[in-house]
Amino acid sequence: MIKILHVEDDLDILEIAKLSLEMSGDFDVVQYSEPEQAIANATSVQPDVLLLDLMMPGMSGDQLLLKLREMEGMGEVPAIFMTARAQPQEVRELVSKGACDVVVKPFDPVMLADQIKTILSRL
Amino acid sequence: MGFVNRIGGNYSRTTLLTGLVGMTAAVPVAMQSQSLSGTPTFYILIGALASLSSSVVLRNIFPTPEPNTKARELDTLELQQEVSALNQHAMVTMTDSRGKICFANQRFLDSTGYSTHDVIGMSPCNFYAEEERTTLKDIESILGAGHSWSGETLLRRRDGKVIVTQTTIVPRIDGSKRWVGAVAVRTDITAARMQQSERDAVSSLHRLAEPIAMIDPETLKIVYMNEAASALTGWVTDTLAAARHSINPVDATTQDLRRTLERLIFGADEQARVTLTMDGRMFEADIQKITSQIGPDRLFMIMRDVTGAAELERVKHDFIANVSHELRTPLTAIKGSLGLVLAGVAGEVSSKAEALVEIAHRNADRLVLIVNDILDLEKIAAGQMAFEMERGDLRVALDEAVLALRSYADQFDVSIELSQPEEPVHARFDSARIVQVLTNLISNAAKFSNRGSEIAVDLFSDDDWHHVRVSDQGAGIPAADMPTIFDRFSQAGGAERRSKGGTGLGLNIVKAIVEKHGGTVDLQSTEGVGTTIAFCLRREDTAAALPADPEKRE
Repeated sequence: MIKILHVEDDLDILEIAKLSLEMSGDFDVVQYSEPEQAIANATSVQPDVLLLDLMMPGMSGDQLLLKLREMEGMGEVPAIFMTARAQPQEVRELVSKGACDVVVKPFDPVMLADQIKTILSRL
Repeated sequence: MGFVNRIGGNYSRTTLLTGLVGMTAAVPVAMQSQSLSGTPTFYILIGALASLSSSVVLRNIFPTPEPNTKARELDTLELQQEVSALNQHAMVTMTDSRGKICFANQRFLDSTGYSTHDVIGMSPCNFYAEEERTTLKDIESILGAGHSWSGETLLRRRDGKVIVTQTTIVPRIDGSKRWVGAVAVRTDITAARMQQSERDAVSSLHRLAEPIAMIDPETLKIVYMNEAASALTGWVTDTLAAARHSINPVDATTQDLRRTLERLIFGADEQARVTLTMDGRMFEADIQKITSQIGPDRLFMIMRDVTGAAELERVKHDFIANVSHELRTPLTAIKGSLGLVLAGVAGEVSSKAEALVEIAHRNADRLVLIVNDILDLEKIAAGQMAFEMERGDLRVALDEAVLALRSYADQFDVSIELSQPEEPVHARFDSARIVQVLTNLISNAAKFSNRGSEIAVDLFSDDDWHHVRVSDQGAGIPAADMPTIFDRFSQAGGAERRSKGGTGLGLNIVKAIVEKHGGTVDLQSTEGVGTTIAFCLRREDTAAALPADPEKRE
């Protein structure tokens, strides 16, 4: 099982992503709707991969990633941003901030699990 | 005095003719003043000088019996002074009985740019500007009748410029009352005319509601602004003279304006539009070159303050970008929920329920496409869409697009035939955007093709351009829809065709992307036969000069 830490401020999207990922049977999904909760619990969760919404009130996904990276055991965890349609240079910018890829919203719920596994398999 | 020597044989006394050419010393100060030009006094003087010239010539040709020596010396001195004054002020030419110029004074040569050698033997007609044909006939007929002629004439200088002259031409008649030529006395009134013309232009422009400025092509500075322009810009233009000294906004603006002005001054273009930013305000300026026959070209600039409009446009772009972005969050939830229901996550659903959910899911997809397309268009319009121009093989983009769309085309029972050269086809383009263009064109072709038909995708080149052509064998576009087919939300054929999906924005995006690459899109369609849409991209060898970022080209 792949333990995924998902942070997303929209509760409906949290629910859909959980169903999508669990549908494959390969993911153990831990979710938070507020970045601070993720920071508070990340070390204990010990995720294999981070799935972070980019635009969240209070703290953006890339700011959250910076904070998570400073925490023990989180320095090397693969991070994937979830965002609305991004231009190639925006994706490159996110990659330069430590992401390994970007999942574009709206995502296909049937394909989400495979999409993340493909990204991880390339690492 | 070579000229005098050459013609000396025709005249018994050449000294006075020598004076006509060379004497310039004793000129009354008033005669040197340009300000006399154009005044009634001036014309009276010219008439007198013309008579004088005539008498000088006649006295050369038909010398009167010589009086006593002292009186003769006085007479000669007086005459020399008169002739000197004439030479200082006026352009004088004489023609012989064949109508050819046999004499031209230095003032004439200076004003026209010709040499003595050029003009001797020429017909005076050669100096007249083209539009003076009627005047020439008039002059010939009046002189032929033995009368003198006075009026304004336009002469063309050797350098092509036209000068305006106040002219008096007097016929030369010999003792047997035979025509032996004519003498013409002209005053160059070009400068006065130009000043008058500028005064007229300025006075007619001054109260116009449209803000207008005049730029001096020599200095590239604004030399005049009307009241509206002054009010618009806040620059001081109480008088033309004050404006010349107090306004120098051109120096404060970008190189763009300088380049635009130089292109107008030295190039063939006569109009240009430029955006100026000064003191935090934005002006859009249409510049028009006005060429003048008798003076330097002028550049008129009509200005509009677009500060508010630009800000409004920015707010609009931001709003659309935000709305489009915000729409994606609920769309993600809607599309995700429906997708999960269809995937059976919520358990089995009845076939009727499944059909309804599919409709909702399909339309959620369509809404996503519309939002994406709107955002793309707004990004292009706002210059925010980044184009990553790189030299590449166009065949790779075609392969990618065709491969991705084969299964889509299969849904419509349509095949895609790709025809392209075996050698690499190099151009400078943004690969992702060109694949987007091809995807748009090929998916459109598939949607509107007849079942079982074929879409032809061809890549070919000419000297400067690579051409990509996508042809279908579909219903074609009605002639009435052709002019607007590239407009936003334009779809040919109405509801029936709209039911096939699509946003009505695709061709608009295709056009915008191709134009950002410096290319063009061409559409040909016959109802019932099919549609061909072709676009072209410049070949790499000629595209190399273009900057990598097309935004910077604007």
